[in-house]
Amino acid sequence: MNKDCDKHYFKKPEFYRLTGGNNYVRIDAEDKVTGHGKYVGDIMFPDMLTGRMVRSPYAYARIKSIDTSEAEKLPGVKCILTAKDFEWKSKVGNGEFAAEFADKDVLCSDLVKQVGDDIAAVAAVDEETAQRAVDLIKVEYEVLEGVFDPFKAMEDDAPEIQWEGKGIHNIGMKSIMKAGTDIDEEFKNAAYVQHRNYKTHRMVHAAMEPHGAVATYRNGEYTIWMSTQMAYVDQFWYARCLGVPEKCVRVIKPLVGGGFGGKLDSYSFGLCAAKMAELTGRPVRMILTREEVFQTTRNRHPIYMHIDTAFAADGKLLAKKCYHVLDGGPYGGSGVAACAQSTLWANFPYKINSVDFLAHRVYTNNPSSGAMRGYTACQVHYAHDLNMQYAADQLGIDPVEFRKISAADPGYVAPAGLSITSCAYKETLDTAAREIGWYERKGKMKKGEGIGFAGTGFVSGTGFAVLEAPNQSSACVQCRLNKRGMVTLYIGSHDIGQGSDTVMTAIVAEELGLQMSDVKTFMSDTFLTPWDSGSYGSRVTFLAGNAARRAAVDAKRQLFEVIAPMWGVMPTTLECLEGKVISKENAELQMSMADAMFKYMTVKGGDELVGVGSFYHRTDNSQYNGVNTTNYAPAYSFSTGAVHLTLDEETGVLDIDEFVFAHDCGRALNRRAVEGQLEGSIAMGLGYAVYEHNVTKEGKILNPNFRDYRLPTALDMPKMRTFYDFTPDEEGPLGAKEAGEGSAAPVAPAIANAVNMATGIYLTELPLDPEHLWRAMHGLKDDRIPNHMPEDDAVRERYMHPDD
Amino acid sequence: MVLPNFEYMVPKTIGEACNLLLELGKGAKVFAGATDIIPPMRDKAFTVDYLIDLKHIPGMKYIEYDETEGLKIGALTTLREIETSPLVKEKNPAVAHAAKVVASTQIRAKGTMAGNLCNASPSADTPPILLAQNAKVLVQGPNKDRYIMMDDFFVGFKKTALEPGEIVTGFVIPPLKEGESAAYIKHAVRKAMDLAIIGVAVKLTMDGDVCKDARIALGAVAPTTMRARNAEKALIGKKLTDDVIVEASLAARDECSPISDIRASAEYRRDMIRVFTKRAIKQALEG
Repeated sequence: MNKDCDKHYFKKPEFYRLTGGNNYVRIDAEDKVTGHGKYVGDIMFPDMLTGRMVRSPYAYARIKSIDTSEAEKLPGVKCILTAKDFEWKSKVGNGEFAAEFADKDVLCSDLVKQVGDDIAAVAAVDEETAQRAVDLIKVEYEVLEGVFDPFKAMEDDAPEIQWEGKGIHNIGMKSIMKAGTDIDEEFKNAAYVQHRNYKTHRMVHAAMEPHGAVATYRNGEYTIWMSTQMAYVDQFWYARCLGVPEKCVRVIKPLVGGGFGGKLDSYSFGLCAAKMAELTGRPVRMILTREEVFQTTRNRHPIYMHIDTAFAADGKLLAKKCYHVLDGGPYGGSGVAACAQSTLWANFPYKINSVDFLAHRVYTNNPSSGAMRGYTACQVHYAHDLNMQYAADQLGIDPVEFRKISAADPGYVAPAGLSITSCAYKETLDTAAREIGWYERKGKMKKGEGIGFAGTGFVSGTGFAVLEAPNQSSACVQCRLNKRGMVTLYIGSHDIGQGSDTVMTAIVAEELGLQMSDVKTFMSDTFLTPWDSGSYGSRVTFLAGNAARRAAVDAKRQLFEVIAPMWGVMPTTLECLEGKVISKENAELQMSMADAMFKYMTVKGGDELVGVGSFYHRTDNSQYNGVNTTNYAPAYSFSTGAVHLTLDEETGVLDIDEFVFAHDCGRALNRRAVEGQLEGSIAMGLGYAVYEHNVTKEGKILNPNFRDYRLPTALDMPKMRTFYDFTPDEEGPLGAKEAGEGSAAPVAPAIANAVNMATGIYLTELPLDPEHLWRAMHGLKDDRIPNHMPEDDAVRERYMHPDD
Repeated sequence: MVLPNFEYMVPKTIGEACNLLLELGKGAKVFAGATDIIPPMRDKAFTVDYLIDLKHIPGMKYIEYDETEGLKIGALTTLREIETSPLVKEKNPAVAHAAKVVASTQIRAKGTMAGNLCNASPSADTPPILLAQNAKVLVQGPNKDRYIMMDDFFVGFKKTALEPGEIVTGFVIPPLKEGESAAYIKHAVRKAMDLAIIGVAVKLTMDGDVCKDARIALGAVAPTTMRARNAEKALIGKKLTDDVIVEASLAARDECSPISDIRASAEYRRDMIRVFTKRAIKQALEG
């Protein structure tokens, strides 16, 4: 039952009992609170081995030799893998659609391209022995001169980290978005034009649970318990890299302690665990250290952004050109989609006549970059919202009014094809302005005091052509009812801590008029549950939620088609409510679900009832083939962040006393869960804006630990108020849209805009830690963050419009 | 991550502990809370063959006060006990505050002020307030006990004046008399669980408006916690007007010698010494 299923059977909002403005408890709450829940690190087998990786200390080097002989002699060492164990097999990539773009060797045999690159793996009887074996493996290197500045990496004499031998050096991904009216005319006729440069820094997801895998090998099949956001995509890559068909690879996602995009890629450590399980016949566990998580998984892309913008005299946005340069590190993976999407966010959520956007994702020897909460939305919205604020001030227009002039409306179709359905962006601006007290406080603030706004938009349910699936379905659900009126629900979607298992259970319970305890949910196991492409791109509630709803409705329809004739009524006049099948027209006609199911099975010769559902958003792959005119998502979410703060002008310390967050997520299905997501977004956004920074030197992260990489603590959090009661989305499951990813984007620009009001300084970089703000106030350059967008237009032009 | 192997020893008396430490030599370390021992062992920043646990030695966990000697704190007293002690808060609130800004509640519940001192990190939070208040460090050695004045306790980066086999058993912080007050301010990025970018401790002895004596100690701007003697001179014998305070803070700025590292640049640290010397003097004046 796909997108075109019979909506006559969809429950009407007046019959919602569970999701109509309530809070309810997560289905995994007790397990998590009592510590009984099983994460990868809790999975134990009596004869289990511990694995460790041998990693490169250099950012760019040629391996001259690997000597494992001493390690092999160490008692307790059971297996050592090097590149030859993966010979003739596939490299690792990310999107299944783009297997030919896979660019990472499971284990390096020739070149290592980043600090921490994978060279060998060891399995031993315990962690200490495994670590001693790692220390005994001697690798001889010829150290090469790496490149750590994406602009230098594009120069003709730069080392070829990954390069096909044509075009600009080291371009891993090029994305274009070009559409609308004649852009040169728009700029020529504009009343006001501005040219601005921005730059963002490197951060890491810092999920509480480090990455890990436990693998077994029996009966010719690998089973891998994996801390992952996409078990089915892991299955695809594991099969390719291990050289077996997918029927031999079972990936199970147990509880996951946070992903934020960092667990979207398939990593070598898990592949090595699987291979070593095969070679030893014993289960192998591989859990990364925190330092490995920092250095060898994925970071948020640092991005350099140049923006040219044209406005009419009344402040209306006319046209925009921009050039984004993403520091990708040496490998593609989830960073490829991040590049394409950087052009999507560049003018969202504003109306415009003409756009001309170009993004280059450049290979360097820095740590690999990838998806992180918003793909690239946090970086791009930071620059582009600051760009809006600057224009508002130049044109002398109130910041809230200025954003409203060009704000997207419901039904707006952007030049490049993006089609908006429900949209309460202007309402979020008004709500945030009212609640932060903008109109009372405007013009009355002391020096050092400021209010800042930022408005952003995000996809809700990606339809990216990153998947190969029948009819592009990207989320599948099955729902089985038995004679007790009890449901067994099979979902492929990945709960990584955000609570999606609970939402799926609630949606099915709602449609079937049951309690959540009547629905038993099984999830994310490639041999047990139906296919789902993973937790990314804010797709889970919207796509998998819609699939779950359709599975429940499919079951409901089949049930009503049996019960209705017994009552002499039409099936569509029935509904499931409070454990019963009822007639909406005749209050006397009702029957418990158990009785209804007993009757159903009697009529059907004993068959239990199975409902199936799937959902997708139809789009095309134009974003990857150079044209990029498409509608990315079935719906979009909108946010406004508003912050009030005081800056200590001597020290650069911000005292953020209040954060107001207005987010258009359609109908909130679980108010407490939405508030948790929005407050979590503020915490992570604040971390990005002020606290968190991976400082690197020649590709090595200097602070790969929670002592020097500072996540904000509870004491650092401002008072937060969240507002999210806006119009339900027609296509969203029970009216819902995304509430946990795009919401991180407005935090940093709102803070920067408030600092601007407090000081008059227009910030262009991140993070806004005390020293950065102190430097800004003293007119000092912050060289702690290396690399700068070339100020020289000619240099930029050369990369934007190369001769070839 | 696993800890390397080590021997764990539990002496029952301080004498036994001193002898063990002396006999086992360089590979041995004593510990109480272990919060500065375990993380570097795990990170292989140093190796330890023997860990000597002091926690089972009686008589080293106390907070006492008398009018002549002042506040006496045992080496096994945790930072959390110091921070929450009504006696410390009443008699010397700046010491309670300095204890409170170390790391997190959980770490303070294990860690001790003696450990914070003996670790001899230049960015530690409690040495500046002890140095500014001219505290005595009580030391037991294999053959004799002695005390070391705070001014003499640090001899270099991560180096103390302790002789082989010597163990710190407590501190004595002189009483704050009429006209005397102290303050410590830590400057860090986070409000908790952070290492100081810089720290400034001040003790003032006032006679009306006039400063009779001043001791200023700076953290994280030299290889050890340091005295800002020029800043002190700028205050002593003067009425503490805003101009005089600014002059002292500029002197402190000029006499410190910070480095640039992952947490801050030298130039930022230097200017923060100026800002927080000024603020700490004012805070001490306000009592």
